[in-house]
Amino acid sequence: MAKRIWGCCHNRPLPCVLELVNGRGDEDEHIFRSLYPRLRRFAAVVSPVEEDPEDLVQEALVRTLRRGRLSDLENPERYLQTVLVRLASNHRRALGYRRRLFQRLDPPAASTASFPSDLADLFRLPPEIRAVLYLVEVEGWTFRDTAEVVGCTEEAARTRASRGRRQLRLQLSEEGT
Amino acid sequence: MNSNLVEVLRLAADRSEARDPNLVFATAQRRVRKRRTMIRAGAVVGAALSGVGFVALANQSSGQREQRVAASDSTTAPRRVLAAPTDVVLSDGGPQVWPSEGSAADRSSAVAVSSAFVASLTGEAPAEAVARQGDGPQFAPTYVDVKLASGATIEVLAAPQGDRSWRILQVGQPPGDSSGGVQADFIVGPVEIGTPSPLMLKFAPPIGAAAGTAYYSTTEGTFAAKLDMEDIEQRQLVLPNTFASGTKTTDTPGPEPMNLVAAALVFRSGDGLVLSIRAGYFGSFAG
Repeated sequence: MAKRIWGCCHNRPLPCVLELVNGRGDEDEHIFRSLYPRLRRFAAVVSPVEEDPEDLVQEALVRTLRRGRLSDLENPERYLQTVLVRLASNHRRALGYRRRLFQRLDPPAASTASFPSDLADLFRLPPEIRAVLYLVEVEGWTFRDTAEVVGCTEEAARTRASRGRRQLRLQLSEEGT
Repeated sequence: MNSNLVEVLRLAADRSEARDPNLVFATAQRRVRKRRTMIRAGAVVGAALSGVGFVALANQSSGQREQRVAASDSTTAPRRVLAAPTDVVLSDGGPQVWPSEGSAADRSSAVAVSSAFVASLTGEAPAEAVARQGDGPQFAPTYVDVKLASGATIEVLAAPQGDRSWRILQVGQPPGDSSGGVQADFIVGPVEIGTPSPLMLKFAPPIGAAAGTAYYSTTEGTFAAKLDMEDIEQRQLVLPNTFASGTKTTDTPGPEPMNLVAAALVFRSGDGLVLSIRAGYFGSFAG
């Protein structure tokens, strides 16, 4: 995905400060500004319900800038989306662990979810499945492109989409009965 | 269901209020710069501490062939590190795959370079070395079966270079899954992903292995560490004097920048016979 993961003009793994000062930073800022609305919406779908999607976008940007410049990436949007999915997945795991720990210390008095049931059902799905469903159903991406973002094969992306739809259908029908 | 699903997804996508993208970018950039400054400061302090530790160790054990090294390896108990007998075999940060260009090893043929490599690592002359030339072109990457006196066969993959000398690509025995391939059968990674830490080798020892030696070449020099029964049972070994920069995390694609150039594991039986060799080349440090 990256044209050049390591190295810049001084063959260092981190972006050159001089270049950032002299204008390459502006180029990155421009790229990010143009991508921001789509990234924000994507982050809102994949991030855990307890988390502010804006924070996730910023975290993804920090991780990406640590590796190099946005303008050095072949497809910055796709790269950032991949980082977003992985971050969301890590955060979900961490949140799950913390939730279990707190439950053991102090059994829950109230539920954290305050969303309509459809939305709550969606957020029960793993971030990778939510990412696939969003990109395919809303953004109209092909499974091949979606698979690249999620880091799986095209076939696995299809399976995830179908599993996601099935789970949502099941949850909705359970609520209906 | 589909229209309902799209609606729900759109609702989820619009669940938060947008911030100023310029502010988000500026904050991210500030965080990256701050972290970079901290890493540089940490590196300076680390280098100073390592220097002090190294001088202290060198003073303690000058003249001894074996020294106890705990520097740069705070995750495990002190480990015996031997002065490396394989400087001629493992390259020292050079761009070429080992054996290094400067070594005196005979590199005139696949058989010669493979035999020299195995002899240097094991300390014994191979009983036989046969190239599997097959029907392919004569001057192409070739597997060489190097048979040792112990009966073990080491499979070496050698390749010709532009000057018609040969170099070794990989050493190892088939992984046992009947794929027929030669692979190093070990993986290298940082002890802790995401933070600067020493490197760890994870390997699959051959049946009957009771001891061994890990020879490894870093950008700072070549080292050898003894594997004891505990290491073999745990199937892993932390390599002193190695480091991974810690810039690689599980969230970002790409390789982990590290100072390891090449590594070779020699496994021996209880009575000292060589059972197997696993070796791999990782290239020079990218940072």
